[in-house]
Amino acid sequence: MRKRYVTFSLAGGRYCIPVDQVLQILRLEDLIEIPKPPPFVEGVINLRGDIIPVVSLRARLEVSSGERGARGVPEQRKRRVVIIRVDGKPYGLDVDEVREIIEINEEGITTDATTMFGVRADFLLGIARRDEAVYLVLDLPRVLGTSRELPGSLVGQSQ
Amino acid sequence: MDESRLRHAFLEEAEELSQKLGESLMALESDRTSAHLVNEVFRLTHSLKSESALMGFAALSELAHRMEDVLGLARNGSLSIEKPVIDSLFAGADLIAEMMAAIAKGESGASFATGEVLRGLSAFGGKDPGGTPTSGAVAQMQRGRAGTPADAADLVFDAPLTLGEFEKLQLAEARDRGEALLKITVSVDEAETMKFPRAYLVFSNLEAVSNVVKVVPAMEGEPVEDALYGRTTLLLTSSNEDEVLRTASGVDQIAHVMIERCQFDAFLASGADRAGETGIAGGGQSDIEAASAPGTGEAASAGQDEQGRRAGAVEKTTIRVDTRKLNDLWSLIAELVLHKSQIARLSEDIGHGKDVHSVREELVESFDSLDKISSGMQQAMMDTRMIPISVIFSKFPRLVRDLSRKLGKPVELVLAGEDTEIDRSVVEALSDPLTHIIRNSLDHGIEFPEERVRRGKSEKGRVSVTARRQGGNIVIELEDDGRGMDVETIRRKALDMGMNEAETFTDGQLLDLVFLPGFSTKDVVTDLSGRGVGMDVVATRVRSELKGDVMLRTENNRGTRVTLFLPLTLTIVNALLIRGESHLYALPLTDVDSTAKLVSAEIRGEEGRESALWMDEEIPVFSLGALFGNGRPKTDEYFAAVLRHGDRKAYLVVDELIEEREVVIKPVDDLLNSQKMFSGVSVLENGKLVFILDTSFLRREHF
Repeated sequence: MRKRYVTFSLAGGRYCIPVDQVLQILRLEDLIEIPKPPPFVEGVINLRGDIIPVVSLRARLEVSSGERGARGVPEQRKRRVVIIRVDGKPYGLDVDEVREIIEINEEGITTDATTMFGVRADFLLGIARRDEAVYLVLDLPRVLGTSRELPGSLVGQSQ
Repeated sequence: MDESRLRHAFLEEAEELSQKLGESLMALESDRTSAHLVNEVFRLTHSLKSESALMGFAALSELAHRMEDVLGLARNGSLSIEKPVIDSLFAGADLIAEMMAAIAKGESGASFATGEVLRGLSAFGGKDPGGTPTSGAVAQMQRGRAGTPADAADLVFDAPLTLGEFEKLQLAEARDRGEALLKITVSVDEAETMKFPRAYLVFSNLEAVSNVVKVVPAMEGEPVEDALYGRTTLLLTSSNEDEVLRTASGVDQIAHVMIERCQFDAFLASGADRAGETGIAGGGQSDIEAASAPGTGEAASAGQDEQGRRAGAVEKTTIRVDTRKLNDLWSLIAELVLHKSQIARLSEDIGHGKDVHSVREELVESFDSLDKISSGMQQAMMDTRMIPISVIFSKFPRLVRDLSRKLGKPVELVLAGEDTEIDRSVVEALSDPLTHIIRNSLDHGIEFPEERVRRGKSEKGRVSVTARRQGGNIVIELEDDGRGMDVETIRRKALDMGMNEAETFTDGQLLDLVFLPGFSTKDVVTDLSGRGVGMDVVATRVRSELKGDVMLRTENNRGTRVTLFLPLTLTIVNALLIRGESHLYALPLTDVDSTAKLVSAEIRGEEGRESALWMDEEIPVFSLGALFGNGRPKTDEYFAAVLRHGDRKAYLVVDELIEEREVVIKPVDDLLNSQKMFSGVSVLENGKLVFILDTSFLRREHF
């Protein structure tokens, strides 16, 4: 089955997430700091009264700008927050640049070689290839730690 | 017909019927000769039978049917309601409640063993549960009708389609829309033993493709004798072809469908002059359903939203709201609209160069009004969340009755303050703890009759449950006149368990031990001959989930009283706003004892384990800085709030005590609450974020 994905770039890599999980794409503005956040949470934004946590995908996926040289430094002008819905709750993903919407054949997403990209393999659903380009398909519940299988240590020290 | 929509409507309706059935049976038990109550129970079982048959829950339907049979006999005087009869009916009602719960979870109810209960019932009804389940009922109904010729039967059967003002208005509108007026007569197959479900199905199918104005016999309200639905007449308007309507009526077991086209004028002629006046209809009803009733138009949108969700979530998706409360809200909205246009006019005035000062004065006035309106709307909206606590209390008579029989301890239950209103969300979490406390009272508190007499008490024990509103709290007291608890026994127990400080505990402190996990184990409590099994569970539920508090008072040989303090609502709280480390926090006032200045010289102990004196008590000192930031800044004097959580108290050092105010609590995502220190988050008017501190952290050993 063909499905539509939003693609974005992050520290030189290309990623994609299903379009039906995306609620909105915003400029990163009016970020509100919060006390003692987990290392990958930058703060929250207040979107019409909804308090939405903004996750730094760089920090979460551990793809820092240093590793990939100058290409990895985000251009402030292109930086966006992708508002997604996971398990019924909204979250924001801080990404370097939102690129386009593509169609991918779900069967074409392979799970081999997921370890090659320096991203924790369990954050990925797989890899999609399209027109020579390679996209890493994110497993959003795991990235956000809403998935139960995730070790508790990653969502901070829950009691 | 949309299955989930029907199911949704069924569950709503049937759960209410099932609950009323329990209550009516209780009433019938104490007044066994009341024809009114027999009728009431008959009617409830009848409705349950029909509705569950319609949904295809055969086991449930049969059970209700058998109960109806027994009540039918009681109704025509050939069976008197003796104790065994009542017991069988109770057994039936209980099983129905259990099956309903299973159905709400998405099961069919077919897995329940109904055999024993059915046999118990048929012992009075004279029917064999193995035989045809329904033949007896029909015979029964026919007997009933033959015996009472003045029964509604012939009156309703060919009743003319007389229309009320509202229905005429509907017709007039349909005519203006260019729809056709049709009369459809549906005959159910003679052999079909349950006619109402069939007729109802046709009705709801037609509802989906047309506008049903009138049905005879009526589908809503009290169902009349089932047999009358053998021939049902529907008046409806529609722009659909006859063929569509015929298909919709083509349900199994329908023998004949007749469609007649009618003239609007024939129905509108009489009293047409008044039809125009009835712009607003039905202002008088006391209780409306804000959500779906079976087959009504409103159900459509709600039902579609619910598609895909599991049926188990049904009960939480719709609410009943008293019309009066909605009317209050409505009149506030009317005022709001008025002031909106006034402000629009003022802005025009400025544009036209009107004197700025006078406009300004008017603006200030308008703002004041808007302020009042918005707080009024907030209050009115909150009121719609409030329901009387009787929804929980009404279960207690049955609970006490059953327990008192089982234990052989006669007990009188006294309820008071059932009208006290409480937030829906609180109600759901409150039912279990209260049930538990009452159970404890009967199990452990109330003595056996002989013992009571020996102690000079009345033979019959007494349990009272009282609710009242006290400021921003609901106070619920559960009191018994049982044997109470001996605080010295508790002290000994605590010492045995190695709690050396118990030596100097006050009575209050000793009783609080009962709420500690591990202390209220069964061994201990059996020794204590009081109560307290699982009281730690009660305390946890009340303190952390409901943000309330629970207190226990007891007197040896005189009884025990458990008092619950609960916030009126969980969504808006009065809170103390504080600042620490450049963030704002709110402390619910129920958790704040007082505020204080703390001199640093008075703080003792090493960092992380500091304490200071409050009144005569040494309590821990925490600081927002240490909890969320870089530690406590070093100065000579600090501002602090004295927090309390149950029996624990602590100083919380803050950078600034700002103000007391109301905050609206929103849930906080786990990502933002990794240490579980917050119970929610709130956004102030200026967009600033406030985290609401969950003071239950005071109970933690480590951070």
